Amino acid sequence: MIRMNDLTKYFDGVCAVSHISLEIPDGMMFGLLGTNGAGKTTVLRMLAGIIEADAGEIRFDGEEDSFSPSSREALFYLPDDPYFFPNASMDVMIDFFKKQYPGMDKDSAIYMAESLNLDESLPLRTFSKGMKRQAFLIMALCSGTKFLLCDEVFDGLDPIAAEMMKNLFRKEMKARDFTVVAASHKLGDLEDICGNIAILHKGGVVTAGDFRKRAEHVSKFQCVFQTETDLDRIKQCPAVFRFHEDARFITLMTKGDSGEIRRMLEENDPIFINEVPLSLEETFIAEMEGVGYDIRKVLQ
Amino acid sequence: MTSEKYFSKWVKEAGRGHIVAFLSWGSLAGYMMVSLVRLSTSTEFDFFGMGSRDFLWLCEGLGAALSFLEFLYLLQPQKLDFYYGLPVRKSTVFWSRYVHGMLHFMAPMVLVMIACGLYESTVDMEFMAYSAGYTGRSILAFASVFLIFYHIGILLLTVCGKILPAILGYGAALFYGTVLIGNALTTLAENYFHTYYRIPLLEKLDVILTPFSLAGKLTGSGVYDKEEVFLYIPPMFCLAAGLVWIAFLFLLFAAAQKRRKTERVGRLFAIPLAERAAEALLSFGAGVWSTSFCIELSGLAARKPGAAFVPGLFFGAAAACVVHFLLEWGCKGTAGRRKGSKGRDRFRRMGRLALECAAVVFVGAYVFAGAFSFDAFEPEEGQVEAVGISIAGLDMGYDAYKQDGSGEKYLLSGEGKDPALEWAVLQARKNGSGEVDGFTHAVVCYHMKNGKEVYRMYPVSEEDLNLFASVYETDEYKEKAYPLPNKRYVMDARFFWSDGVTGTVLRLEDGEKEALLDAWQEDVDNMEMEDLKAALPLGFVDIDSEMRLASAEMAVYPFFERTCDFLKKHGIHINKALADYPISSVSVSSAYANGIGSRREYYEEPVEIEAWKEKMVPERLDLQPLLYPLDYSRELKAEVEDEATNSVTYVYCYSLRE
Repeated sequence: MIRMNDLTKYFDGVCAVSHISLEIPDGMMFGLLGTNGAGKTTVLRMLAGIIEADAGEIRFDGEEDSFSPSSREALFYLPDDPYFFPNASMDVMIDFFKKQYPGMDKDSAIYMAESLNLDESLPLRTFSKGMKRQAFLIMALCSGTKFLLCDEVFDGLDPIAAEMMKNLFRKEMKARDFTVVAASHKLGDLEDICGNIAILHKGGVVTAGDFRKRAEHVSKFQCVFQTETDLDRIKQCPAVFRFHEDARFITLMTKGDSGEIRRMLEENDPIFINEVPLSLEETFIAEMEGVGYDIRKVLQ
Repeated sequence: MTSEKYFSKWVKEAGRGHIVAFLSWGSLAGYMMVSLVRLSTSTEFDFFGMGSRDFLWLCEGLGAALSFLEFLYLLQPQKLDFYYGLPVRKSTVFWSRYVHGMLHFMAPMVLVMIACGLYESTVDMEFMAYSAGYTGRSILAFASVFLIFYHIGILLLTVCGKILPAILGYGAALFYGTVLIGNALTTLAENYFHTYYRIPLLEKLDVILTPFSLAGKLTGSGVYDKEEVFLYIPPMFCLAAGLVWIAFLFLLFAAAQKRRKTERVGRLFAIPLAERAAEALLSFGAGVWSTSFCIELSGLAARKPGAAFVPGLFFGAAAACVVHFLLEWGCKGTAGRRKGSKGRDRFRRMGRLALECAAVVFVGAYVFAGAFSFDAFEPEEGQVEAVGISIAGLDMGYDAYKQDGSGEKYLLSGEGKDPALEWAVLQARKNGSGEVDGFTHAVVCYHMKNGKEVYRMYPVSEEDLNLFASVYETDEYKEKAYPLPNKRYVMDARFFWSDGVTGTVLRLEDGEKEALLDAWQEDVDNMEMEDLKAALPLGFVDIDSEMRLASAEMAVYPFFERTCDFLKKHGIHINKALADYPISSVSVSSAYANGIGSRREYYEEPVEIEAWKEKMVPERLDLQPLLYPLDYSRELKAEVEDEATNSVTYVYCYSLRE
């Protein structure tokens, strides 16, 4: 488990991370979502021990000295733009990481690289941005560490490559018990892979948790009503918190028992009514309503 | 894994890319090849270790280059994220690189020194006796030089957050001492202290605070004599300064690497304390330098000290402010700001700025106020161990006189000390009262009993020059001014008579040599300073020997009766002058009135030559430009024919005053 308690960091008087307290249980892929400057990278760099927090504490598995070299053998940090030795190939980097991380599985890394058509013997400098990202994600996955910190996790990957990488993450997480903290400024990168997500804004956590669970009481209905139906009556119903009208095609988001809401809608004699599942994006919108945070910034 | 294995793994890892190894081993191997080739052709003036300026430059360069190559990662955020994200302590990465860089210099350097030492032992028998000591000292000296330059680089890279300030800081570290001490403070002293000649403390500080000068002293790069080079041991203060540089820098960067914050990479300084220290040092240095520059530029210090002092200080304080604000601007006025505060406070540290300006004003005022006591210095009775004294133009040729060739020439600690001290104090008092017409000047060095040396330069009037006879005529002064070669060694030496035109070999038995030396010594003892105003030397007895202690040149004046008689008895025409030689032409070069360029005239007619030859004096005979001055406005060149060898000799001369 990763525990951050009241974590605070200032850069030249500007608060980059403000009193963040989070607990990330083992075996989970945890997402950090936020716009540029929200503090995601700073949190990850503090977790990786690259920079020190001005206040607060970080504990990995409750260890007192979480940043001793032996403790950090259980942690792999993959920055947004990772460094590699000049002219080094993936093979060379794997060998280097193997010296640092005893659990590094070179065979798996090479197998994964081959499956993604990456030549491990070619210098990494010859790789495109997306290929480099894939290569480093593979090395991170195969490092055998208990904790994996990834900044801008799938940034630069095309949709197919991103999906393949996500599948590799899912398989690896099934195969062994490890925890991933992935930061991204795009919800799309995290929505279908992260169990829990924390939204960061101006250094603080706006909200965090399992949004799907928290959105279980939220329903989305698509309906078409007769011309003479009084739509205002539906709009003013307390359970409806979002109402979108496109000609006679209405989309509603509601809170509360979906059966009761359906019954209420049917009383208005709709031509068509259908309850549709919520996307994570819509869940966020539902969660952030009233908080004052412009969630659209991360909904790309 | 054990910690030892762990560290050694990282030392090995630091060598990834092998640039440091290629650079260090390659350049040192290249130096070894060049040295071996040089030593195979000449071992007189070529040294592979101490005394070698080339090797000094190479070690200094490698110190700087390796520090930057090893520690550049500290300025690269991408590399820092990479290394600091690994399961390793930041200090392990740092120290492994320190050890790696040092090993890759020390190992090849020691090998090169040993190889060159062994090789020189085989080609130079003289070197054999010194080989172990010289090689060992060279290894220690050049290792120290490397460490000084290596540590400067590491410190700068540790405290800076960008490459440009690190490079500029390196330059500042190399030249700060010499700019502040050798340039600014010395200029202030020259301008305000009328009796200033040199201040040994400033000179020592200049050496100590300037890595280039210190490295030169540590490795004897200014020593050329072979035996001196082989036996060279740096002065104690240089050894101490070298050790302090190495240890102090080491402690500084050891502390800095602990306090360094990764997130400050990209700023001018990665450590706020370094920022404040650099700001204070640079502002102060710029202020003092600008004060001295302004005072030097005005040229008023000698005539109107106050008129130069006030604008000088104003200029200095202004320069300190400019540098302070420039650095503040460079640091973007953010470092050290309190957490959570907003806005950029460019006018912070005003108290510090006031202190910097005050320090500049204090230094200027200290020199200004200290001028009187400096110039009025008189040693108290019993404080002086010896007096070094030299008068410009006395016992030296015109060329040396022209080039201000005074200095501490004759050191008197016996019977000459008291008259010399009395004469020097008289000059100090007269100088203080402003009574001096400045016919020439004298440099006096008081060697105090506490080991200090105090130098003063006094203007000397013609009258006071005559009073110097009381010093000049002491046996001790004459011993120093007219040194007699060691009789033990001169027996194997060759004696010549030179009249300034040609030389004649004196074929003397051992007893005759001794008799000549005795006669000359007696003549010198009987000589009075007043006699030197009456005649020029007739010539010189030159003693030529392979041994330095036996070589000498003894001026022979017409009133040196015993010497002249001896030489006459041995067939020397001591009265033969330039006029007695067949002169085929005379060229006369005289400067134009405006001082730019010169006019040359040639005289070849016998009548013209006859007119010139009586006035011409070979330059070598011009020993007393003060007591027996010649006409220095013209430079003459006589073409003397030697019928015996059918050759021509050119003799450079001055003319007698008309």
